[in-house]
Amino acid sequence: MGVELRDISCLFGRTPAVRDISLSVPEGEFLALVGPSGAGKTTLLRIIAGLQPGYTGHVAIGTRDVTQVPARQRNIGFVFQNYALFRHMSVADNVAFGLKVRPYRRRPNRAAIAARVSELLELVQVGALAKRYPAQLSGGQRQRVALARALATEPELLLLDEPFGALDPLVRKEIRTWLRGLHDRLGLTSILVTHDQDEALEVADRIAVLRDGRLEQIGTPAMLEDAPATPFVHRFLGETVGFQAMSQAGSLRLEGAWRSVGATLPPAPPGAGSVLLSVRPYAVGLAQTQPGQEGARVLGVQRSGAFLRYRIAPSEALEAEAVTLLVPASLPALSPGSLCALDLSAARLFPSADDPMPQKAGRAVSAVDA
Amino acid sequence: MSGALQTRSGIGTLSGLALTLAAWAVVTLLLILPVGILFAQALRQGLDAALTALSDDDVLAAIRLSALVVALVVPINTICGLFAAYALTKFDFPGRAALLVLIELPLSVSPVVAGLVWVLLFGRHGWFGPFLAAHGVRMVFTLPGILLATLFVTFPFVTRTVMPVMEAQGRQHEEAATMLGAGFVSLFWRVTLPETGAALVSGVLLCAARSLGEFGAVSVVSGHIPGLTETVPLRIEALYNGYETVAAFALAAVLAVASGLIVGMRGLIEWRRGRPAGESN
Repeated sequence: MGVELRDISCLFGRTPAVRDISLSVPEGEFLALVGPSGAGKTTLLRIIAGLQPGYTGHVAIGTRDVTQVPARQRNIGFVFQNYALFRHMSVADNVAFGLKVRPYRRRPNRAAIAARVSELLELVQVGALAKRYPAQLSGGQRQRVALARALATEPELLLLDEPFGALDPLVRKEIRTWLRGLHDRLGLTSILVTHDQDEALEVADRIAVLRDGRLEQIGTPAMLEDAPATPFVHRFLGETVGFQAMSQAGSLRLEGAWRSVGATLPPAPPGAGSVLLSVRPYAVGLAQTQPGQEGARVLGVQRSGAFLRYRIAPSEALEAEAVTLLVPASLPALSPGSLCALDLSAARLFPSADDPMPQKAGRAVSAVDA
Repeated sequence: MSGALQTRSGIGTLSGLALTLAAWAVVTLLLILPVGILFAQALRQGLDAALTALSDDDVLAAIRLSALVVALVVPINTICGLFAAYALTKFDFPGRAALLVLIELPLSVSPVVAGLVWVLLFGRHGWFGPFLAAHGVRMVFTLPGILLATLFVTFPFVTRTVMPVMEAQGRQHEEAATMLGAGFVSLFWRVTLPETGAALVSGVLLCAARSLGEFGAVSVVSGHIPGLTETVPLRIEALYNGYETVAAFALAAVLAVASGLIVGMRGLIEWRRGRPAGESN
């Protein structure tokens, strides 16, 4: 079932944890909530679940407004960060829990519960572990059991709070592909919280980027990459390199240390003012300058997998301004000390006021700035 | 005591042995020897004499009263202690810190003082005495008084043993149960309580042992009426003061065996708790 959030705000004491978020998740979608820690993504998930007291706004699941409905009656599957399996119950009892606690009239009989449990354990591929206890399982197995338990009551909405955080990288990759397959097969609507943008980009249909309790942007991975709404979104979804520029009378030119470096720039935005150019380090074109042409100085070059990792500065004297760019190793290499022409036409443009975080021109920013 | 303690060359086999021996010496001197003497004294005039002394009416009455007190105090304090622990760990409310201190009060206040307080409150000249007397209720020198005094003294045990476990549980298991549709009752019975498991049993046993052996507070409120308000510890004292050594020691031996059983059960549970079952996630 779809989810509709309207004007959701939530305070932790006096600090707003979620500020005025509205978004809707159509039925069958896999949505990822991403953002640095403290962005409010888990709080938002808990609000949808009904676990977070003291919020304002409206939550609807399907056509039902559940704002006033207690968590236990929302019929939502929730997978907790550390799985929260009941350690005194066997795997089978954990999975059966949601069915056993139903009021007598809606409770399936023992045989039906047992059948449902083994069906679910088969579904999550841990059928052989029914009699084990949580302490005897590996991380990946616990994850699957937690998922089976959440699915036992046949929820149509599945909420996952950092479900892969505690897994080692190899298992993580495998289990998220599998989870996406399960989502499609069961026709679920899923909302996943993660701070790992790669994870979000890989499993989600759409991604909602949160920052300081605000929704920065929501869209498909392609949309966020092609048209990020803010420099933050661009920076959060991958490494970026930033340059300050000035837009005036239909022309754009670099500012600050890079002003004297000849570079190919994207078309100027309408209007005048200070502009931030944000670009992926692998999307910058580097070429040998023609004799007499201005250029940036290659400080160093290093092989990194299929790429060459260049350190480029406006000049040798301005080493502090150096940026790191990636160029496919198949292209002709430039030697340290030579001049190069920068092609920044793939950069995204943002009015500088959009980015409240002061950013030095030419500084490479790591993906997660938590 | 032993040179082993002063060596700074790490604990070798020899010093380890010395330490073990020293520990056993202390245990023997302070625990095993007295209990041994207790039994020796009880059986000094043969088993028959001891059994005869035990079949005295007042002694049997004391045993019955003590059993009754334990049977009433333990369930009451288990339930109250559980809810106190639950409220203190799962909720934040004004006065929580004060309540935490108050719950420990019985551990630090001398039981005699506790008993005196009850007398001051409920005794004939106490604050509520006249009111209670007017309604035909007598608290001092009666079973209710003994119960109150014992309840007070043994209140902290369940709470204090269960609280750390509940604290460690956090809220996530309960939230998981809630999301699966469990109401408060199923949540408490199926998740919270079973997870406190061994700690709860351990606390209950401690409470039982203490309520069986409590002397000070009960002594003040009971009035020492033989056959009516004398618990086993009080009866032992009375017998001892009356130079009935065999009877005193025989009854003391019975009490010691009962306490020993309780402590032994607790030890068994603690030992099982320490084994595999293990951490969850």
